[in-house]
Amino acid sequence: MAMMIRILSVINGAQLSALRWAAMFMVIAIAVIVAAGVFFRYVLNDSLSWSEELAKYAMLWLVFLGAPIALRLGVHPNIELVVNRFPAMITRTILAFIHLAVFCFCAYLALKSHDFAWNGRTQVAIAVGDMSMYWFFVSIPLGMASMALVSLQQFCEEMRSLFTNQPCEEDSFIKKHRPVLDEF
Amino acid sequence: MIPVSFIWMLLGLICVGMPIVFALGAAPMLGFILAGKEVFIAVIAQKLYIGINQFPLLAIPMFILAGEIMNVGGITERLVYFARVLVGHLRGGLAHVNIISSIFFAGLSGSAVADTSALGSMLIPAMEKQGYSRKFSAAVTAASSVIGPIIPPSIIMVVYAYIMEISVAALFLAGIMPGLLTGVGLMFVTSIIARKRNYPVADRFPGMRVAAKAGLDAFWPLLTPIIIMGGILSGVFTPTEAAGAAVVYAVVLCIFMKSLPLTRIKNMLFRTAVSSSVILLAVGMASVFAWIATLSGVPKMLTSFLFEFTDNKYVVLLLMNLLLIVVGMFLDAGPAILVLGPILTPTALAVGIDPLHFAIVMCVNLTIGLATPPMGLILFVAAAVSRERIESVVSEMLPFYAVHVAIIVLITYVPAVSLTIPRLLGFG
Repeated sequence: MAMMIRILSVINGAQLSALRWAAMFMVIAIAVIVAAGVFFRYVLNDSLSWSEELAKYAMLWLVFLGAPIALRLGVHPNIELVVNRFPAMITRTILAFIHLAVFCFCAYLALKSHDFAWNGRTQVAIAVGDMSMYWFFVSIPLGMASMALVSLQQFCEEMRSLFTNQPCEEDSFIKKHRPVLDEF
Repeated sequence: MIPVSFIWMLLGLICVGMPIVFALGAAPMLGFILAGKEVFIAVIAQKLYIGINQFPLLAIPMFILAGEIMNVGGITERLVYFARVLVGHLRGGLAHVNIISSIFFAGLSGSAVADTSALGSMLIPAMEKQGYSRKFSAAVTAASSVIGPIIPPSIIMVVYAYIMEISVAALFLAGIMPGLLTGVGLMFVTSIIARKRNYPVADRFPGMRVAAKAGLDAFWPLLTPIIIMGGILSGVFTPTEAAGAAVVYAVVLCIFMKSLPLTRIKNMLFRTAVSSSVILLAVGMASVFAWIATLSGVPKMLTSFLFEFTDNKYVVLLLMNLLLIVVGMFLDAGPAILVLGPILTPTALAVGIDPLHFAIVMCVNLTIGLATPPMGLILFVAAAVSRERIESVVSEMLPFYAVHVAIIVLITYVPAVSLTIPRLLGFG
């Protein structure tokens, strides 16, 4: 188990760091595209035909790049009040079950949404140089697969904490990035 | 099509602590599998894509980014200073400054938590130095932060307007009066408490010249809500474009004030990316959920169930408000709107409640829920910033909760309070 957690921690640390840069890039991209759209329409009186579409696709990518990071850092809202009432062992069992359920959901949806993306490959985004829609749809299975990996790691960590009766350790990704969310 | 048992599954999953965004997707998925209708699961992916890939939703990351830039760029400090010049000479000066700053800040940012953390970290230590108790300082900060998402711009209003297909501009306008009234009510209660406990005045009124200077410093930041609302109402901007313009305006302000530290830009982008994706993924999943809930006839069942007891719209409003308060105690405003909006709104419309009126009641009620125990994001942040226990902050909050409840009652039973401004400007 410890071995598996270490491997997953390395894999997830790497993939989430990559997602982090890409997500930050998407934020800038959206801001620039939306601003450019407004500028061209009202200042130059020459609307960009692609700005709305492209900004939406950038947002789609942003969602599925950012959501796995949010999952790892534990910021998707949930209600912990009820589970925390139970004795520690039961709480951990429930948490492990939830991580497993999230893993199943994300993994299953990753497969299904890839079917959706693959079936959509013949559609093209006319506003964005006739690119295949696959390149936008595929953000969904990628994000879901990434979240499946994260929840698998969280499940393993919770199981270990169930057996060793120690709280979950925070790996280096959490230690590094969680404080950024809490500062102001 | 599928049995409504997935509603109970949803509640069960949420109660045992599954993140709401996954519960919203997993419950219907489980429902499909149990009903042997796996074909629909492929449609979930498609609905998720359609739910997110919407131009109006682009306003959300943009408003978050604009708020972050203003905050990191030191604009908050100017607003607080201006508020201090205006009301610092009242008894309980800094408590009033806290409330006025929240009103100012509400026009720049669309989120209550940003308000609590930015103003709390600045004002709670200052209040403590002047002899206020920490728990009272935290309570004032938390109680006034709910104004943030009520006065436009507001992220939860963008979410609600999108999910329930009403006009963002109208909803923004409807929030102005309730937001200002909340501020007035809180200041009224504060002045009573300040007199009773003999809280100090912060500083003497510094004279017109200093006041004018502070006003000038705060003028450009305070222009933001006017640019946003003016742009939307005059038809120059869509709400999304207005949010984009707010980002550009914030950047320009910070460049002129030379106040955006480059080192913090990276963290700012990271926070924007994470909070945007959390909200937007939840919106996407909620649109999947709303589709399934509608197909399986949940709102219809709720309506007919309710009609067995009453079809009086005032009673319905009362019941819904009670439900929203209870839900708001446990859920954040965003997820609560996403889960309950599609279920409650059709019922509310069926008894003849104005859609805009119901929207503003729901948004204000759930926003106030952000400051109520046991689960209240604003309360947690205020407690963390002040290093006070949540229980002691709550005990100081009680008089402010009375104001909040009064505001809910007022906007529920006197629709004119919220609807006059949008009506005057030609909505609904």
